[in-house]
Amino acid sequence: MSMNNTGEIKARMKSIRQTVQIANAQKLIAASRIGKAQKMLADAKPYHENIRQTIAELLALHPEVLTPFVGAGWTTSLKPGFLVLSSDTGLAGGYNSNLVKYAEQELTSMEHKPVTVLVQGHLGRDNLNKKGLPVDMTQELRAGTPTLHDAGVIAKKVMSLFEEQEVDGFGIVYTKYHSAARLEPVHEKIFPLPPETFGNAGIVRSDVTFEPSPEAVMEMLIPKYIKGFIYGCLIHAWTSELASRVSAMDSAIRNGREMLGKLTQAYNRARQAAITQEITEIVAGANALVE
Amino acid sequence: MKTFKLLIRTPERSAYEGEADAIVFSTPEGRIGIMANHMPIVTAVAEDTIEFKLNGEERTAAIGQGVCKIFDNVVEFDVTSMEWSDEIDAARAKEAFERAAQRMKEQADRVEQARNQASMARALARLKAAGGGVT
Repeated sequence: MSMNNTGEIKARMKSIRQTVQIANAQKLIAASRIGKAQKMLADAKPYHENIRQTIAELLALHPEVLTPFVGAGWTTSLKPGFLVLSSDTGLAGGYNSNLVKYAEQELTSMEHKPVTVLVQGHLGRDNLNKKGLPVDMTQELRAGTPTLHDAGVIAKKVMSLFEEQEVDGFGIVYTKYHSAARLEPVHEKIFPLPPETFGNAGIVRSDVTFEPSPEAVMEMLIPKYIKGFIYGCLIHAWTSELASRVSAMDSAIRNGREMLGKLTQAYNRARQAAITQEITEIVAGANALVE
Repeated sequence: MKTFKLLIRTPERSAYEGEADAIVFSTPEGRIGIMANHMPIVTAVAEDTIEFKLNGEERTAAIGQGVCKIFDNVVEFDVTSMEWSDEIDAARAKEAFERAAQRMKEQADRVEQARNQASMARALARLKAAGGGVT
């Protein structure tokens, strides 16, 4: 672009100013949602912790009560399924590309290749599909503000794939939120879960009875645990996406302001040059008349 | 009357924390009532209404599936949802019930049927808590 035309520079400055404004709005929205997401995580914690604790207590008293979801370790999984949490919206810096890169690397380096991959968010879905992973393109899991309902739908889906023996285990790849400066793509196991997952039950009273039976209580708890776990992952992924967006918008705003500074200088210079030229022309014309 | 401590937690909030004289709720095997000094049990909770009594006053709520743990006069519920009877939109619950009933008639798929049954149970619990009937 020529830097000599004042009109052109002005138009460009106007468009940059608009971009900065949009980036600023995006940043504010994302930042306010982070607080909300963290509150959701904190609100869900006591419930989820107690479910985990109850399972631990049950297993401490009745170690023989196992369900297909609680048992052998990951190593025995010969046809694992995977759930990958990406996003539907861009403008989040390297959030999706980092996740896709990590997921591709993790899933292709496994000894037993995944037989199916469910992806939340079309950005990850399209990219992982292009990389040749067995992405189930019929499952359009929507990304966005996580809800318990979404977590329930996903939990039901992964559990039914397991019960129908399409897969013999399920893993999840998502971005864990440690802090705004530390977002880490991770690979975790949804099930089957070794009994140790539920931690130490502490001191358990041996006079407690489980109604109608320990098996029935276990059967009630495990799907709740899995749903709660997935809900937690959804919130982590969502918070990470928002944090990426805040920092991406921050640098966009910074770049925009820097560019505006340079353009203001260029504009002033061009304006000055135009004035100087005009004066020169007038003076030259006047001189010619005098002569 | 001797009271006990009652806690109801859902994944969205700590829905209730306080004292109660007695409660009545449903397990997969039928309704049970709990009063102070109950023996320690852990029981599965079915989707239905829960009735509270405190100082002669009664309140009703709809709760989702989960577990109830009773130890030393502390009763803890971990359930998928809880709504007080006055928070429930009876008209919406009725609509949901009818929708699920309609789907029950139309679909044969086993998984879908289980889902419909769950929707019906949920709608029914909410309707009962709100004091409305099905017909």
